[in-house]
Amino acid sequence: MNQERIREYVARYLEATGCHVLEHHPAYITVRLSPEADKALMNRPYYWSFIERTGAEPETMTLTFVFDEEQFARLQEQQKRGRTNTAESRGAQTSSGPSEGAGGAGNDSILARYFGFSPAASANRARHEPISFGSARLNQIFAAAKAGGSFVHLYEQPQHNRPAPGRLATYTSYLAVNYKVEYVCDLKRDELYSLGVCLSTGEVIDNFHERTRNLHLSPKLPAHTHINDMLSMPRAVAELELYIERCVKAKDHTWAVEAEQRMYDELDRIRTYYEEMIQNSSDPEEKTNIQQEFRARQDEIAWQHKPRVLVSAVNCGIFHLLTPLQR
Amino acid sequence: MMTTLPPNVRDINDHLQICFDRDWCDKLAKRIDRNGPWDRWELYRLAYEAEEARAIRSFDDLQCLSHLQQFTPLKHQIDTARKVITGMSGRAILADEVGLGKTIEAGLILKEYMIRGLVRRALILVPASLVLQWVRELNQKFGIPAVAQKKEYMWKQCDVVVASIDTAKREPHRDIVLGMNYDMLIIDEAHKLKNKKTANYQFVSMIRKKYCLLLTATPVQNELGELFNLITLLKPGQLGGQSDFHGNYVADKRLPKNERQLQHELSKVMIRNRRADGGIAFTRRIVKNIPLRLSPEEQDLYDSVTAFVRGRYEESGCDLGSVLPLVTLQREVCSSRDAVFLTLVNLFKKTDEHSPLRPKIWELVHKIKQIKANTKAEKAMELIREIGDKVIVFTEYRATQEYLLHFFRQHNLVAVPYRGGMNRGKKDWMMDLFRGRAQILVATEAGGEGINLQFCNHIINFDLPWNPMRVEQRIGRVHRLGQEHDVLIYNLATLDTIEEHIVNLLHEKIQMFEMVIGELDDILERMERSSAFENELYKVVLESRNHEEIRRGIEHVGDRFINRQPDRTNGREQPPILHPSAIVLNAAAQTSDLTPPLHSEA
Repeated sequence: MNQERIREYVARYLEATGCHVLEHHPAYITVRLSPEADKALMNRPYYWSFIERTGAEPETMTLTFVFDEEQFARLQEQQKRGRTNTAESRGAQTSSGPSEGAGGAGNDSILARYFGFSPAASANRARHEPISFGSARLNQIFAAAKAGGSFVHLYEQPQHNRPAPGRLATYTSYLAVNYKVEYVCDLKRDELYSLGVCLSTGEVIDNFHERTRNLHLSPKLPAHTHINDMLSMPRAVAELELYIERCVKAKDHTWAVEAEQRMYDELDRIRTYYEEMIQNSSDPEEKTNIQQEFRARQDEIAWQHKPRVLVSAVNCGIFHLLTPLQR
Repeated sequence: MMTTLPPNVRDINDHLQICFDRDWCDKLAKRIDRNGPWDRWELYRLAYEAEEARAIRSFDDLQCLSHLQQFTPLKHQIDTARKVITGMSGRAILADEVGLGKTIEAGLILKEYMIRGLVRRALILVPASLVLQWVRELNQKFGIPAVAQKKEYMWKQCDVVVASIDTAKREPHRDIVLGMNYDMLIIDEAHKLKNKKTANYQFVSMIRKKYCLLLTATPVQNELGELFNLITLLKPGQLGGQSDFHGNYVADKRLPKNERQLQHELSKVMIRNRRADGGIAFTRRIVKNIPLRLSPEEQDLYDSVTAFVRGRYEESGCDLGSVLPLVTLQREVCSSRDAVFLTLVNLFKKTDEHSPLRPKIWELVHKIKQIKANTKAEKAMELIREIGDKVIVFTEYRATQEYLLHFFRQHNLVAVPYRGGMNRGKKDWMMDLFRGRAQILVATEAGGEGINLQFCNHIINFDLPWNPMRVEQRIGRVHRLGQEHDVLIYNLATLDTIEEHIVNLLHEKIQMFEMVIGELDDILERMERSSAFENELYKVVLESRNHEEIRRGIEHVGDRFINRQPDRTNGREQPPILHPSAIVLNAAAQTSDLTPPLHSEA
């Protein structure tokens, strides 16, 4: 993900969670968080439980996410100079822009050193935060998106508000699952499969996400609709798993053979070591101890090296589409 | 309702099983039954895109580099991380020479495994004094949420825990730690685990772990068996069984045989980067001695104090132990009148009321009052103004530190203090001030853990410790990996005093020490223990009547010190008598091919 895509991503997240964007700039976004985003990102459960118990009006945080630090610093500098000029011309009166005080927050670096990022000093000062791939904040936004986007139930909306009189819009329903397939040994590699299984025919559609992401979908069930009979869930799941299994089977699994070989080598190696120890030991208690340690080491090696494929769902949902997807 | 599904673990082929996690099925079914709650379409899309961005497409590309914003690791560090992950299955001894960033390498490896989801739980065992430094490095440089173990519950609740072995091996911690499965175990200063019979060794060998890193610059210190023990923690049997090892590789405790074979086996579990191979660019170190003449008043005080101390020495029948505290006086005069004043007053209080010493001490105190200006402080200020950049001023004495802070403030220079007694928070605060606002850091402690001041490249030694290792430690705060400029060191030395001789000794000999000290930290440890070195120096000073005698005496001591370390300076150039450590070092040097122009890629 480059900075441009990160910016886009963050903006979409902020919008999706109903945050109030105060300033949109290619280099940064200043935003007043919605309660939902504040709860997900600001790590202040006590504050929120207090608000919920007392029914007080919540005051959410204002943040500036910085995507281009250099440009942001330049802008800050300009703004500061501009401010001193206006301040001079107006006397003591100071103007306060939305990102006022953002520069000053950079100083709490001691906290930042301990925690990786620093908690906000006060709610009404926007503090700025550089965001890049791998930063704690972006990972948190990723996690928040996942927590808030796991299960959906969506209907494709007709182009025109009303279908022709007397005609029913007929939906084809899909169970969609975004699968993550992990190839694990002492190393690891991932593959993503976005699949949808048609709930009337049992047909599995690949690249389901790609093919539906730009459709106009909504949780609302439009009027005058008819939904086709549904396949049982277990059948649908079985179809999807079978599909994945076939895909995985068709791959080159040299890696697994090699990993297994490494595992056997390791097991042989410790065997030479422990068998000698066990042989040379005369004390039965010591012998048991060594045997125990031997077994523990064997378990460790299997844990470390045994090749396996793990399949889990990133998220899933039921999609009702107006036009059936072709394979 | 899922009864009709086939089993969720199935064979792909003879080597491989596939395992389906069906957690989501029930959750989805429940939502269908109750018609909700449903999530939003946009968040659903964002969640999938996040997963796409984070998916690891290949087994062996390092991912962690794109996740680091705070710094760029050096090439040899990246190479090391890659080799440990892809070639050593995550179990290795990292044995780089001091100062090449073993911590960074370990951090990279840990980060990589965490990004790949192969490590969630990690335990990092380090000496107590390094716990906070590790926590900070991992948080700051790698964004790894490591915590210092403080409370019992933290072992289980926190994923990445840094603790000292001594804490971890004690109950109630011991049982908890031994009951866990750690995805990764990192042990810093692992040479402390060289002895199989110690409680620490046995404790560590019982910890269940998947990946394991042992960090040490000195994998072999005394005998080859130590190496065997370290490797047994990591990969038992790598060098065969105990008897194989002795049969195959050990001719005598300190003499290996079949070096080639041994080196080959070692290279599978150990990586050692060396400064010399890497052409890792350390900037130059430029030392300037600034000779000063004391003002007549100061010189007068110095002479009186010297006479006083020598008098005591002879009175005590040349018993060094009983006068050692007094020698400090001499050195304090060279530092500041404040330092010597404090000591004299304390001495006065301790002396019996009717002792003939009292008036003598009082006389010295009077002489102090005559002194109006501090020659050295004036010179230091002049230097600082010339430098016009950040400067660290080191002094041995608290009183001098206070005086200097006051003095600089009077002259509108912004200075902050730093001393060992400060707590971590205050130290950090002072460092921050120094980095940001202050021009000068006045420090009394050099060794203290984890002060890295690479952003500064000027040091003024206001007075010099007698132990060259302490000077080296002072300089090491600044002259280390990450320093981009040549380091300038100014030594203020007053002529015709003890300082002049110490400076000469330190600087003629330190060049020779440097190669020794730079390489193995066990020498550092050994030196620190040998207070004998300092005592010898004192003796020379006290027994000499004139400066020429002192000079000769001191040189003699210096020579003897260097001769005491024979295999450090030339051992490696004489292959037939191989020190065990040399074998190890060579082994790893061959395995890590560092390409010369390191810094050009950064």
